[in-house]
Amino acid sequence: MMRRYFKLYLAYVRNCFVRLLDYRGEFYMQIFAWTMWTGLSLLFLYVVFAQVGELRGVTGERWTREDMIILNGTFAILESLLHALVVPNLGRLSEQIRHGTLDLVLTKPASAQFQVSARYVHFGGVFNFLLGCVIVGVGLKMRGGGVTWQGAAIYVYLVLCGFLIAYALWFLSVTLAFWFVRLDNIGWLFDPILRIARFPMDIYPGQLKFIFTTVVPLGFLTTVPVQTLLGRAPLTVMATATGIAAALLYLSNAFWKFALRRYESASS
Amino acid sequence: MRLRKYATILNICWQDVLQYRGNAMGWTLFDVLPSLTMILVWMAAYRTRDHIGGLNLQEMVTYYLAMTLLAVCITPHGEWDISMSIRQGLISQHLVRPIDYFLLQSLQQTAWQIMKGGLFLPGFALIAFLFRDFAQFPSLTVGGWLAFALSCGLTYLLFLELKFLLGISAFWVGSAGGFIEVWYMLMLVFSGQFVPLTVMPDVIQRLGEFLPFRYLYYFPLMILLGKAAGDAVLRGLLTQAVWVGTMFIAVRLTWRAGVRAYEGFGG
Repeated sequence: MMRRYFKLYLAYVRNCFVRLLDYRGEFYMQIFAWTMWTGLSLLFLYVVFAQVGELRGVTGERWTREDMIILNGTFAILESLLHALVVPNLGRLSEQIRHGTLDLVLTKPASAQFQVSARYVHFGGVFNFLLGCVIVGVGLKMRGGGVTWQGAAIYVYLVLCGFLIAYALWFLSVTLAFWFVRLDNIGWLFDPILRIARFPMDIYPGQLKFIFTTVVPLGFLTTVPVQTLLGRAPLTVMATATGIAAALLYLSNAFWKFALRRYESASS
Repeated sequence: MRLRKYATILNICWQDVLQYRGNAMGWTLFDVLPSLTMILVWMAAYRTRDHIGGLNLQEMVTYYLAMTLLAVCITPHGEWDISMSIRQGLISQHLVRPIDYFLLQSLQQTAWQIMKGGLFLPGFALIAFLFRDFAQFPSLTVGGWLAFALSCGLTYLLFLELKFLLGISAFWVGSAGGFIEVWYMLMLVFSGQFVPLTVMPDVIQRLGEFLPFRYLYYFPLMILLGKAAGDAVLRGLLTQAVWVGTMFIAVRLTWRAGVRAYEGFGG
């Protein structure tokens, strides 16, 4: 079962690579644009920290320039994973529903959610991923004080959980397209929301912070992994993050199945 | 007669917009959320300092709140539609019609603006209410408000022209996606949507003097905050008008060159 999906995914990746060779200009342009976005958020940090020494959250939690650089790098890593693996797929779903081409997916003998979520890969994400890793490294170096292997491993695990949470939230928002067929930008609706995670959750006032840690757990995307890396969060957050990721993945699948019952197919 | 033709078009555009009003909500989220996040980040910065780049907290919050209003109400998003029409060959049908495509696009975008603005007003009221303790209502003279309104009008015209140019770049650039994104980032930085230009490093401020972007948001907002007054307002409005004129000529020339370069496949 797992092997079958692995082989299927490999075929997807191979196909995407062949397509990539046809559209090289677009590929480089996209890499350039993503790099600029990362540069832009570093510019913002530069501008802010040219004025103040630290950011102070609502509850008084302090974020120095180095902390913020690490947070930004983490966001770049997360975003690059989403851009490479998730967005190229979910961005198309509403069109597939509108034009009825989702039929082609539903009639194939594999999980429909897997097919609409994993069909396309954007290799350009690799570049921004590495850039994010470099930024995190530079931030840690500027900050001084080493990181243990154990700490690094936990950080990687939490970022992975963050990726799964982000995927599930994005998928949930895109599944709404079954109800809002005419909303052609629904595939990107989650993008501006995701960017909230570029900053530490503590800058968001009371109720908002509550929403971002429980209802829409954006806090677990970047803030929690970084806090753990800096030794500011208890290790129990690993269990919480795992639980939230698992619950949201389950929920995304349940909602998808529920939504499919509404699908009427526009094609035939 | 000509006027009636375009009135009919505007009416059709409006019907179209009514049908797709959900999309307007999506765009509004795109336009508003980044500015709101910025406010909160700056508030975290102001917890350690009173003045940043010559602005106090009230002015900074007011700057970004007004920014959300401008970003929703006078920011057209026609570039995607135009570039897609060109790439898919749909533009051919417009070429053979006796209707000016730039004017048609502008009318269409204006219909969208009315819808977006109308939908956003209750949202803006809520946001302004939430930030009421941190913002201040601008205290301007009647002349100041007039200058602000005039400046916003010029901004809208400049935006229509720039976004049209951006859209028809698809005549030459194979895939417009990345190109539009890079343009958008330049606009973000040099228009002051990202952060007020006074806070920016010197290099960027000086570079911005030669670009039209600062006249999109930054200049009208400076009038609103009372940071530009007297001669500076007049000079700014004049420069803004010159940019609008220059870009209009650019639109005409580029469009003509683009149509000549166009091969019209799929037509």
